[in-house]
Amino acid sequence: MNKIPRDVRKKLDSSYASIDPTFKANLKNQLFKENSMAKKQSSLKSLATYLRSTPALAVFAAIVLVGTTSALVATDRANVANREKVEVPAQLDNVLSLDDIRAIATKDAGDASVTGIELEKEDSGLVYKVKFSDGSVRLYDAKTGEAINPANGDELPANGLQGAISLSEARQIAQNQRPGATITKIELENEHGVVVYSVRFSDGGRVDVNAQTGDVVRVRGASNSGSSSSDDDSDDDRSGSNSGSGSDDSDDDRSGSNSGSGSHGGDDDSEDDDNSGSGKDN
Amino acid sequence: MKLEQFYDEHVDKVYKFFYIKCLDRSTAEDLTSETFTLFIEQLEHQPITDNKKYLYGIMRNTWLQFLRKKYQQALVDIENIEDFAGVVEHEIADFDEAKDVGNRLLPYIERLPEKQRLVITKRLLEEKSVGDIATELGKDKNYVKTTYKRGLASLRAILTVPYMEGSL
Repeated sequence: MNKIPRDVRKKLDSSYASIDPTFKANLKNQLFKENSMAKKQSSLKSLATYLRSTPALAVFAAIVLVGTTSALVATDRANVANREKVEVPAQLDNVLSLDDIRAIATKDAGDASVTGIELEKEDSGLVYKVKFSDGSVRLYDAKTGEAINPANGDELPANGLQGAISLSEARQIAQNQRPGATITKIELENEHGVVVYSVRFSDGGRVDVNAQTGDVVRVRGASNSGSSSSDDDSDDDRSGSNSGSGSDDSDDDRSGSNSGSGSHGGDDDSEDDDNSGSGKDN
Repeated sequence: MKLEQFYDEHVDKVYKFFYIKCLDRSTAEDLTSETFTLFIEQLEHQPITDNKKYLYGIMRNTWLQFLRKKYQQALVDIENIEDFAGVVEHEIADFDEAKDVGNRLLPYIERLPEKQRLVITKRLLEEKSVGDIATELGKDKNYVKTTYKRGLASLRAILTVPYMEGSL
């Protein structure tokens, strides 16, 4: 069935009808972790009801109950605080754009060129870490562009930072691949000739998003497990133009275009503009 | 751990059913998530003797709600189905047994207007060239090319919103 366009074939291919392992694992964690928390709180309530009917123990039990509840709340707050400490937030309107930072960094670079830009959350707030072709690295305040410290790393092409999608869009696309996971870094870099946003997660996972097309070119789960993009069951539903849902066919999306469904015999096969479907129909 | 095992045993099928019906990964994931979330929540509030039956009941209602919301149609037929688990198994089996994409495409191609259906079938499934198709139909090549393009556009539209009234 070589003449069936790729975007059409993708929808009905068995691999796309199979559940994404990352989604499956994340949903499981979400369902059973939340369920576990709810059970703990429910148990505490039941204990409190029982103790009210036993006055002699009530005071002692109250102290224990309060202590346990506080510990749970503290643990929960600590988890939230840890996440807030490292997570790159969804709201990125008040940070400078990549082009702005590149322009500032280029002035500081001298003869060196910019080879990578990362957005990270540090104790002091959001910072851009800019890497130069001479191996130096410089940090800039993401909101003001002020250099934080003097400069002490596949070079991006001259127009490599003029990505078609924004940082916020790349973040959303990556988050949609790994719902619930904490994003700790977003880096713009050249991956084998393709400019990508490389989005890193606190559990070691990573999602690479083509900066020009918004297509997902790689998904790596926690602890370096999971498939690389060449085997990814990601369909185009999660591509940038669809604001992230689903997963993408790496064959098409890595090149950012459809190269056609293969060679055909006979006349007029060049009329196969059926491959004009870019897999972003959804 | 029993619930987690139950989840592991059924989540693939739940997802696959939703995917086959809507042909959209994101939607299928949302519906799967919704189904299991509701299932777990309900377990907290009432004893359930048959987890599988209950899960598939929620799945049916989730699908029904989705159809009503997206297609704005009241679908009484689905509500009356008691063995929704059987329906799910049947749908998945049909999908899996149609081993290649061409066979899976057939039900959607059949929904095309007649002229488009003819050209699309000959081009995509029989893999005939434009010239051969033109000769068979007694038409010129331009007719075949134009009809083919329109047929593809129609087919893509169907696959984007694949649900058909009267089906499940």
